[in-house]
Amino acid sequence: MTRLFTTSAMIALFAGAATAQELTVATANLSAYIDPGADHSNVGSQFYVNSIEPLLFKDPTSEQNVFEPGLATSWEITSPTEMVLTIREGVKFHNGDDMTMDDVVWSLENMITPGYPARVERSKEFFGNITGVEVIDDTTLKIMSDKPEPLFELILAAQQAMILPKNYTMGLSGDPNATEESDFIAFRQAPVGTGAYSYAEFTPETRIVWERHDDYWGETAPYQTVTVRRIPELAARVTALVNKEVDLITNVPPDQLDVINGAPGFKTAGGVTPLFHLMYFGGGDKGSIITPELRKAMVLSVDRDLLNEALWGGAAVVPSTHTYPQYGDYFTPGIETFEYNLEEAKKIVAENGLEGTQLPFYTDPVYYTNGLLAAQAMQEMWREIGIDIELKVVTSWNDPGTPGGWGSPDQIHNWSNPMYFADPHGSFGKMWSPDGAGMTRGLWDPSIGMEAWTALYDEFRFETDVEKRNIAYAKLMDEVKKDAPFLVLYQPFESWGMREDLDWAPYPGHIPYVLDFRAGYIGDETNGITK
Amino acid sequence: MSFIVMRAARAILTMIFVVTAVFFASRISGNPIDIMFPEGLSPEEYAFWESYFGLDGTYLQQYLAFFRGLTQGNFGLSLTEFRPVTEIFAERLPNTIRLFGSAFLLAVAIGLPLGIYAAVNRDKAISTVIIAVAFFGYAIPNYILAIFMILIFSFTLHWMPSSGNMTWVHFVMPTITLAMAMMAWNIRFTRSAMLEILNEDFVRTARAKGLHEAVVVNKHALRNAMIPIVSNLGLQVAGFVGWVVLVEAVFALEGIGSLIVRGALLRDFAILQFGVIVWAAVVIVANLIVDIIYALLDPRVRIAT
Amino acid sequence: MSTAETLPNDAPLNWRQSKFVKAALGANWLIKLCFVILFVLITVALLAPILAPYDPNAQSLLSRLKPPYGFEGAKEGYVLGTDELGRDLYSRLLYGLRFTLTIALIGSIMQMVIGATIGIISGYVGGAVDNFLMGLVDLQIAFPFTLMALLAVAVFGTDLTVFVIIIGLADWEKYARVVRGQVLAIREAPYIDAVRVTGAGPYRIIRHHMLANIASPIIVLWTFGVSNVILLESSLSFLGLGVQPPTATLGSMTGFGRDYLASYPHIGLVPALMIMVIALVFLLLGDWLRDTLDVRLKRQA
Repeated sequence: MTRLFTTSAMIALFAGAATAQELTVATANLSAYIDPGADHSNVGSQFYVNSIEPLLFKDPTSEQNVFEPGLATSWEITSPTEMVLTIREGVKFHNGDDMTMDDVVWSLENMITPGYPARVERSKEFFGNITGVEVIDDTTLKIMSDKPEPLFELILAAQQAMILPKNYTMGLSGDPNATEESDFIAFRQAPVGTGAYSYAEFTPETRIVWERHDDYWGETAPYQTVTVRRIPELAARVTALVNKEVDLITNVPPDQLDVINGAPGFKTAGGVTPLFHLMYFGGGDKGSIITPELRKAMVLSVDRDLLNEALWGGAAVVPSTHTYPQYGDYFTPGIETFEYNLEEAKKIVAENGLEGTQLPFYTDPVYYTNGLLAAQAMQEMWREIGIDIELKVVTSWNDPGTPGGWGSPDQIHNWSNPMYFADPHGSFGKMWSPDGAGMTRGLWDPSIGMEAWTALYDEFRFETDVEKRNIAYAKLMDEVKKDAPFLVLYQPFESWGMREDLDWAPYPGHIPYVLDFRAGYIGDETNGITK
Repeated sequence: MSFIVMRAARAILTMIFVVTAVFFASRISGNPIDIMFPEGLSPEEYAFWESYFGLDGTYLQQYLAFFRGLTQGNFGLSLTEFRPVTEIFAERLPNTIRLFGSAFLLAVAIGLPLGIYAAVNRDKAISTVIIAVAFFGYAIPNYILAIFMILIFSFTLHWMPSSGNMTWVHFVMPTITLAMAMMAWNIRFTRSAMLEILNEDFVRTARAKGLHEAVVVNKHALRNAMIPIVSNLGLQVAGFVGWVVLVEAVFALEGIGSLIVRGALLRDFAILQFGVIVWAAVVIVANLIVDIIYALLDPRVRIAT
Repeated sequence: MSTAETLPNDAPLNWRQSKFVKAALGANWLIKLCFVILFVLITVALLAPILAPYDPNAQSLLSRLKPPYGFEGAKEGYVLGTDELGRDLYSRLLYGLRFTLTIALIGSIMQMVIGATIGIISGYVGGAVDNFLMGLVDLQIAFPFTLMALLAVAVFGTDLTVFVIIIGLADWEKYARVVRGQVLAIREAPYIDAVRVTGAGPYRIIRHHMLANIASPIIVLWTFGVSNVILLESSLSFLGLGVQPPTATLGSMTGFGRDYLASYPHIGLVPALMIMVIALVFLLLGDWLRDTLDVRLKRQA
């Protein structure tokens, strides 16, 4: 009797028999827009690789920087400031247009010198050293940098360097022969790329439907349709999975893994994510009650190992400094930038009369897995040293004019520093270099002064000798330790729940949270798909 | 007819008042540009979006522009979705109508007869049972009932889908949850209204005259009690947002209620402003229907206008 | 719309006298049970600091998500288990109850004061003032409270003061309508004319002659009001619009507990049950009071 009435049977009965090769995914968050060049959020990064592509691919299965041909078939670094690429022929956009050299040049130029303000910050972070592109012939392109650029491939393989259709985008609004801001705004809701799946439907913050791109230049996508739905409630997401309404769910915290693993026919996959959860202090030093001493005391009093043990079952990784194993030669676990020292913290509080300082801590309720719990736990830790934190749970946190907005003083906020690419410049630099997002927004005012910081940063950024570069990075970390502008908490252990016969897991070579459903990256027995 | 026009005019005035209040309240609390980028905005970007959404003039200029837009059918762009709010509401309204409409009909079909029965048969044990059901339906918060249903019928038994709005099956549990609360409300209200009428002198006179109880109830009491009952149902329709909010949230149903909650949390004032306009439109229509039913129930109302 | 609530509108019952106690003693077992539960809840809420074994916000991070006594893995000293941060659920429940009842009390009294004041002014002054105030009442009736709460949160953010004010601004129109009706009825009553002739001012008339008359309906409305406010608090907290963590209210405990419903249901279910019990108790008492205080209904029976 119960069998007759199983959900899937009922849905199939009333919605028409399910066609083969479909996948349904429930995510905790879903983008408000699609534009790889403006986006750098953990939410957005989930939804690009299936549909829009850069010139170079990074092998997703490798933690190291292994590059593969993407929309460029070959490339060569011809001098420290020049790279030459051969563009792939026979590539079609989802709307049927052929991809031409025009599209490539236009896409890159709109990142190198963006006319569209939403891309300005990304442009500085990723293309700050890139000066321009030059067409050599129909299929050959040269990219030039100002200073010697050791990271050409990494930059061109980034999401922010993905290729968009020029004519299609220009035609979206106003003058079809001009690139206008409104074209990019229109593109956000009707995105088109060259990738394995097209965006058949995009409803902001609600739903994405991917459909197989039949004219794809590479191996044809395994699924006819992939539907992504947003289910923000954790319990609802887990229920939807075990009730067979969806095949895969995102953002499962460790204390829910047993529920899924205990349900017959379901499993979880996941791991330590190349991303740091952190907390920063608002407002730099400009007249803020947040003095360097206060920051120092607060950073010293957070027992990160306890957080890891309690919230992540010890599965997260607590780093000694801002570094990831994926950096290879540039992985510097020997540097000790962040430490737990309650005695020292109490001493600083007593010496500087900081006891009773009141500060608000702003956090989103669901954006970061365990984010609100960590904030409440830290609130108790700070209470230990006499710092009184008031939690503010907000969903909006960008408005610089309102309390809790970026750069507004006298506040604490949580944040993340993902590894955008496997080099210190791709994570620490993305946020804290002189052009980084954290600096642009005034989250840190280095005590050595901005000029000295820029000089120190460039010393590291453009060095090519491994040892010298690591020494330069250690100097940067010394400044972080001295000023304590933020505290790296841990690399979270993120998990995905899924049907048992799905063969999928997040790939270490991607930036965090990417949902990669291209051929070869997902197996599915039910649908007869092998990896 | 002029009576109805008056009512509509009053509703429109109310709407203008509320929209104006929302408009200015949203401005005092800071610039509503927000959340479009979960990990932050640069100052350049900020300025750009401010002018894009027309938030860079004085408040008065913005206000006038807003009303000019209204007369041209331009209700503003969502600050979170970058597209006309009308488009977003159009996508979601059918789901809310399906949910609210079916729950409303169910609650009327069950709640009214039960309420009348409980009033007429005041002293029977079954009335106590009916009232107890109504009390429970009222005291259990909507969302707790919803969660119980999901835990039992989706998580444990796998009978029903837990979230979404893809097929009509997805509407079964949300409809039952919502109908429970509305039915409880209807039973309590109908019973009270009926009891009050049954105690009126003219009903007692009718009884004293020896009229059959069924005639008294149907002809005299019910007809009179229907007036407050209909106006209560009108209020229920007018307050549809409040009813559907929690149910839509728990069942991840893409309707107006969940949209407005999101609008509030993300400070998307374009969505909230249009939400108020939609509500006002519903109030106007609901009032109109109530007035027509009044006129049908009681010829005196028609004469009085 | 004036018949929206079945309420007494003739001679007042002097409920302050022992009649009320007599009525309570003569009530059925259910009502007596409600009184007992209410008494226990209020006592427990008042004594929360003494009864609670732990600070409600004190975390024990390494003892998270422990089940209540009687279940496998329960921890000594934590009768109802621990929540998602290792806080003692029993202590939080006591403090949550205390806080929820406080909000309910302040909120419902605010509603009553606002509504009764408007009703008295409207009924006593009459004319354009009456028209204007009744216009406000119509607006309040038609404007969905949830929409108002959402707008307020969008404008002012989530904050305890804002939260209590939002709740206090709900539902006042019920009081206003009833009180106005009573005032209108009394104003025209011959004995008030007699009082007026003796030279009594409006303040004295309201204070001595009208308040006594509107006490019964207000008490009944207020009892329903408490129940409504408790449900409102829990709904708003569930939507994330309520009191900020770590402060425990029954609503916020249910709200934050819902993530764990599939795995550790006790965290959300215990406060949810408590909400239902309180709401039901006040609802039943309100209904009983209405029947008891409504002279006309009694005469009929």
